Amino acid sequence: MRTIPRIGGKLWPVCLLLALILLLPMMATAQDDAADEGETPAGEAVEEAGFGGENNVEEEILTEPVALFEEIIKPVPQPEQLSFEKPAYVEVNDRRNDEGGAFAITWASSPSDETEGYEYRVYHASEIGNGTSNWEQTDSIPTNAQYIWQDPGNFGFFLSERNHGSNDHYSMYENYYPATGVYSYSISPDPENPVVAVPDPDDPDKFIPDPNGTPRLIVSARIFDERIEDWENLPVFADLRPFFGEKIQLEYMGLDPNQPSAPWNHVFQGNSPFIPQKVTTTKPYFILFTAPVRGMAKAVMEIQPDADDLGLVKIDASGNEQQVPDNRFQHYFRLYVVPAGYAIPSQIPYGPTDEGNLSIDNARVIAEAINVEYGSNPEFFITATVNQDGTLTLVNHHPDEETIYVHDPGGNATGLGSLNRIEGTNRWMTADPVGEGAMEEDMIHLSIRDLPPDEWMVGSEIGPMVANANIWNVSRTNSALWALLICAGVMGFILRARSGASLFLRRIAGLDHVEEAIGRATEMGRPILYTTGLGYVSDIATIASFNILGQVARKIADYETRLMVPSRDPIVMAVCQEVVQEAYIDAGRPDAYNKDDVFFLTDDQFAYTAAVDGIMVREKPATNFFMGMFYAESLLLAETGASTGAIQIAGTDALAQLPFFITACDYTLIGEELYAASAYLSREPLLMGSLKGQDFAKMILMIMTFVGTLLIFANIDFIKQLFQAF
Amino acid sequence: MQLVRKHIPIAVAFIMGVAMFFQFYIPTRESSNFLSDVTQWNRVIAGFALLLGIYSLLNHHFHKLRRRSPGWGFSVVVYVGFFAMALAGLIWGIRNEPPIPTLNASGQVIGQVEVFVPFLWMYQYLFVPMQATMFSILAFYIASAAYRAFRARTREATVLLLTAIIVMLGRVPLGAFLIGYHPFGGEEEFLPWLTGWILNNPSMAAQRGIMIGIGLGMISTSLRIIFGIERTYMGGGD
Amino acid sequence: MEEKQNWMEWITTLDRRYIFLLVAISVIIPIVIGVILPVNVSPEVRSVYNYIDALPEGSTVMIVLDYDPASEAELYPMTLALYRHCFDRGIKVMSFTLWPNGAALIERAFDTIKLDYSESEMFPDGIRSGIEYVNYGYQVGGALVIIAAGQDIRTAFSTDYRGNSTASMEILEEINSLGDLDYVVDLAAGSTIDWWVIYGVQRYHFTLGAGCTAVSATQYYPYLNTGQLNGLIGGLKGAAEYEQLGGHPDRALAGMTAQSSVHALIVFLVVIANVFYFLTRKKG
Repeated sequence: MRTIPRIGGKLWPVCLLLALILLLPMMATAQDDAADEGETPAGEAVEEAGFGGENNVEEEILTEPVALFEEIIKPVPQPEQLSFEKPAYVEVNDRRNDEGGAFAITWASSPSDETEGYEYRVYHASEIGNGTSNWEQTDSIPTNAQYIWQDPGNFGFFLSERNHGSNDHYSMYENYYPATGVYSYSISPDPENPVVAVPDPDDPDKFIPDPNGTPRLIVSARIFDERIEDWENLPVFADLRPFFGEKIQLEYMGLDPNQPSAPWNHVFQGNSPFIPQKVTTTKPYFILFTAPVRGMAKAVMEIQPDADDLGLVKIDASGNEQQVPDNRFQHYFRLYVVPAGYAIPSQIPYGPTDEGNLSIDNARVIAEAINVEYGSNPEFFITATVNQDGTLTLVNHHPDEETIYVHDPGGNATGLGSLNRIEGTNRWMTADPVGEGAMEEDMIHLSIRDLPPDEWMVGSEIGPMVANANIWNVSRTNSALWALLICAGVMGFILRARSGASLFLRRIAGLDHVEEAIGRATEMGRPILYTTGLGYVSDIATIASFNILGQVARKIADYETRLMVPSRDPIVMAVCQEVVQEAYIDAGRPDAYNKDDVFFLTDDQFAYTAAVDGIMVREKPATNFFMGMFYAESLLLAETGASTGAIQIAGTDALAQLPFFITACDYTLIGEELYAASAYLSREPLLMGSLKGQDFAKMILMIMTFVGTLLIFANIDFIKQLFQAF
Repeated sequence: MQLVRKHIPIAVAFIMGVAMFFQFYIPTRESSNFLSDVTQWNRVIAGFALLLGIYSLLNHHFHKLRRRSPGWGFSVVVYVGFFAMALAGLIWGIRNEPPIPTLNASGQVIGQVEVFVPFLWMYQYLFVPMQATMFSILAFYIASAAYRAFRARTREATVLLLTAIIVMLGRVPLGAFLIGYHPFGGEEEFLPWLTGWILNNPSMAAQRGIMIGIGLGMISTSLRIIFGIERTYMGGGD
Repeated sequence: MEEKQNWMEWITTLDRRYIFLLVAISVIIPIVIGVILPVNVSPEVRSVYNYIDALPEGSTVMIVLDYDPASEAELYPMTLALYRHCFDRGIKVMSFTLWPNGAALIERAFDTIKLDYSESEMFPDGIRSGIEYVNYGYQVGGALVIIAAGQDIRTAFSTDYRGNSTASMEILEEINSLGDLDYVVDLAAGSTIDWWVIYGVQRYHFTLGAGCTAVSATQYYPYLNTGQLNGLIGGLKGAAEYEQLGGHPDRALAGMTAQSSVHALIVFLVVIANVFYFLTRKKG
């Protein structure tokens, strides 16, 4: 019995051997390259990549911050000035001002926070503007601490693991592979009166205090990845969104920043990326987002690198470095950044309190989406709050954020969920289902309020608006189109089959031998055992099994051989009885049908298995059919049947059980061959047509996979986009 | 009768199939409520199916007892086991209770008495070992099946055999111990690395291909059921 | 010569009972000796571990025990390892099962774990039902439960295993649906992981990890590759890896030696069978 197709003809094993010889060293080489690159210090990496040099950051949303960015970015201290091994370089860029404020940094999510040997230090350069010199190193500071400085100057933050205690951990904070980019940070000498710098409209290279006094938090990121040698020609990373994670939180605190343990008002939370949608860059740094800040803010960034091989370096207890291939992880760092200017008191009037600053043209609430279209002022925050009377209050809005969230008056996220900005527009839609009681009578009142939530000042109230339901979830359109295409294919072939066209089906070895297997049992005078598996009538495999049972029973009826069908489910048993009875009637042998031979055993998996094994050992059927959904009992059944000398034909779509059936049975129907079996045996046009339709869909998928793979190499991913929700 | 046995079920299958298909794409509140309601109804029906299973089991064995069919003694065991567990659970409960403290004369706690729950005792000391035993038989059967069937009769069988050996050794600490280095200079031991490569590449590719095929087969079968072409689930043919 | 050939044929067609005996011996001896071998940690298991490790204190994780006592040997150790890890990190745990025989297993697992954390620093009052953990017991409906919980978790789980209403349960304060959970791990003996991916992750967009029996593990690598699963704990080996990562060695690590010896035995038997198969074929 050969169930594995021979590919490549007689040279198949040679081809396989060649493939292995080619593939394995290539993978090893990739790891070796990563290892060979070694530990280029963060500073060198920064300089090599021209951090702060050319401003070719391509963003559709932000361009001017690049100039400001440049002003504040200073060269990173050379690693030899640092006495660390393997620093993890974290950069924070506050581009709001260069006059100071407060700088606080907290971090978390070491996989082994509690193990000994972690050192965190902060480097501070009091000189603003130029130097790499005078970087002073703080003492080692504990993990999960929150540090706030009020001294002016630039900061760099370094994190390293000295040893790993007893656990096998990796240096996940390596400055490459990748890390968050947190560069220098500036503190205002007078945190009570921060000065916000904005580009001078007359001279973009210069900065002037922001006349509006709008503080901003600007967080930039930098990828430190030694594998990326040529940023200019690296299309794979041109769009950095996949490279970075999806969890970024913004939290605001309007309390005394001198109390680091004060709770944060958690205004924003969620899984949507704060990365501007179309940030592409040929440089390793880019702006994540900017946000107007009221009060103290911190940005929490959790990075989920998408790379398969991050080339992490493991440091063992002796401090030796070892490459760790194929390592991937999900979260490895959280950066809390508190920008300067934290001490803006909430009493300071701050837009959008004037109606003119914000207008909401139209808000349509859709049951699972809220569309809010608003006016052109991008400066203000809005979050939507559902009030107890069912009205919706928009509280904060950020033009560049992807998500604004909906909270109830208690500050908890409600069933209205989050609002996602529709790219390129001023429209926002919810991503989550709408909960109960979120709206009353479809009337929405929108108003703008200031932060923090417990001290909100009522801003302009906009509304009411009438909620209208959307008829169609646009983001799932491509999925619907695919489904309809496949349906059309199936129905088309069914119609074609009905019209009498001849449709070719390839041979399925297992089914070709059904007749032979039945004949064998008849000759030996022994019964035939047919089991539909452990599935329920709702399982597709069980339904396919019914079809095969009908065909098999029809053949058996002619031979007057005894057919036993033990069932695990009473409904399945009932259907089997009907199927077998119909088959016998169709064959003209209703008298040969014995109802007691189609019986229910038990619904417990292994009790059923033991019972069927017992039947096989006692009754010694000459032929066993295992068709349907099987779990762990597949080998028990097949081995016991093999030990009785029966010929066995199995078919299942349970991937995990296929190897056991292939090993222990004479013929096996693999996966969809089980579904095709009914068409194959009956040759009924409708069934054949649906099978061809299925093949048609498979052909399209294969072509798209092949073409799409080729196009991906050319950095054209539109085929991939066709399969993604938008 | 045809109307009830054939046409109405087909109509219901068609209507619900199409409705649930479009429900996925309609984001309205009504659609969401509809999904919740249908889900709840389905769960209720699934619950009734359990009752049907109990009835079928007892009915089947009752007939065996009545007719004194071969093996009727085991039907007695079925009844005893069924009612023992059911009654034990109904009378004494099915959940662990906290121990009852033993108090002395002055009311101080001097000890505690564990609460004996018969259902849990039978579950833990009868049911669990029996289930675990049946599953454990697989280990022996796998060994004997492997011994019997893993023969390098053909080239494909040889590849299968070699892969099985690599994966079997790579998935246990012994594999790392056997070849304690990586010939290509990687950090991980060779066999576990190779096992991981096999699982993440050729095996995954093959699984994915089969899964796609199965998925399409499910779509096709489901379409046949929705459009009434496939009617075996109702029992019998046309 | 003929005697030698008969002997070789006897080896080739060895009675399975001898094989059963050898398997039994190769399992019993390592367990009796009690040697524990360290395991290398695979990236799939590490993914699950790291994800939970990175969750902040107070997060809520759903660990679904979709198995029955038959699969307890492989999946129960990873259940305990996951529970311990979560409680070590101050993470709240919710559990239920889609298998009727699995409900008592959840209760047993929590009862076991409670003893370890009764006076821990993280939980001075111990771990309490409805606050730090909750067991919803067996839920009828299979994939429908996942959809129902994705719509509204309180409607899907109206009471816990002990009959307490979930309407005002403290652990559900910030949780309205599956999408609000910080992580879901499905420990499955059957095909419920497919349901969680199709009806859970794709609809309600939460992060899903999985644990499964070793035999099923290979079929979930496609999901791992596409990111629909963020990690996979496969079989007893996966459980042993997790125990090693978490620093709570238990049954899984203890069982790896026996598993190693059985695997070695099977490899040996297969090699022997092939050697003698070829020898007898040559002679014959």
